[in-house]
Amino acid sequence: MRTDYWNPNKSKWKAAEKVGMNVKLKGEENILYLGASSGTTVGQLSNKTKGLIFAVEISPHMAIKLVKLCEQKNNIIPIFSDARDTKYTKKILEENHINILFQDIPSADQIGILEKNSKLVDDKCKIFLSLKTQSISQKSPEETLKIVKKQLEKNFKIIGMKSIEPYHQKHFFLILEKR
Amino acid sequence: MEQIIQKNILEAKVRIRKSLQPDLLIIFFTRIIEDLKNNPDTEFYGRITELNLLINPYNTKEKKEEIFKEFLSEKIDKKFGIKLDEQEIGFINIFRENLTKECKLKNPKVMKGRLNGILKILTKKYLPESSQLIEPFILGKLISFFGGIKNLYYRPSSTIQLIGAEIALFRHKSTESLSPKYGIIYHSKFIQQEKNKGKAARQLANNLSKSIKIDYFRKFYEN
Repeated sequence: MRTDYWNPNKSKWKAAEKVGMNVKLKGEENILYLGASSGTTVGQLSNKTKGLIFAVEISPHMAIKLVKLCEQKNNIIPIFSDARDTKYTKKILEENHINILFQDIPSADQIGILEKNSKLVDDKCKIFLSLKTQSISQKSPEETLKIVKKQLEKNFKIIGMKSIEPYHQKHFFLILEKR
Repeated sequence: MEQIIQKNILEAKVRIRKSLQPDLLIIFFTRIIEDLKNNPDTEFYGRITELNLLINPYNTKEKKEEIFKEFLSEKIDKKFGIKLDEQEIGFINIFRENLTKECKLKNPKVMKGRLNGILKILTKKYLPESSQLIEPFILGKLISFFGGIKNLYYRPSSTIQLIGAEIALFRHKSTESLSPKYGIIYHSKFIQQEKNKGKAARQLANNLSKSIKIDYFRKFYEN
């Protein structure tokens, strides 16, 4: 059923690429993917890299679909746990070096989850964040972005930031690095 | 490298099985009764894909007709599917035997009574305290609204009293109209008998919020 076409309306990564951000893969990265859901984006990424992809998901119904996908491809590792539970994630990562950390979790404490998980990776790692402002507060997207920016600048350097408006409403895509 | 992937897939499957709790079965049967109330001629292709995700999760079929065929062949994944005892397998068999070729129920009026009986047994088994206070169908509706007993047990009684009346509640907050006094629980016998329905709804919700906590920590927490 999965076609080769990568739909930007269903994937924030592809939407960011269409808007003009530098998110293309080189070919040998290891990726830690938080909030994998049923695996639409993960399935596309696994064709483009030879490294491992660690996909974290908590909902059982979505995780069943993700595990089915992992049986077909040969470089995805499913992790069925809460993304806030970094101890369990660290146990499964073992000593694999992570090149890219991507987070797509639309909850109120998105920034807190990112800060926790950024301790699993080193300084050279690229960090991509898809930010849903609606789930943090009901103010206008620009106002919430100002508050979020202040929080982020304590721990991260902001390299790139754009809204992905025609494909996903009230969403922003950020590229970060650790300080 | 392949060994690591296979090991982690197995670990994820075991952890997923633990999180599939028996309250998902209660939700399933409540939704079928709800469908029958709205329209006795409904096709159950969508509900069967839901059920197939629980009893036979790692099948490779994707079309609805193929899944329906697999459901009729009585396949059950005992290793990684939801935990079922013989009584519960019997309930699923009753539902399976009464389906026609077009995936509809044979005689909806009779089946509605039988499904209500199944729900009564299931709620008595897993929620012995709260099933004495309220009808099984309304209790199932409450559970399906929140998506499981785990999400229901920590709600305050005022939430349980007003759930299902959100539009009236937010209208009350923004304008100066009167506040609602009952939601889903309005159709229970306890409230219908009383003259002062607001008072009865408050009492029932208070008792329910206590009894659900007792049930959750006695039955579900032990497992």
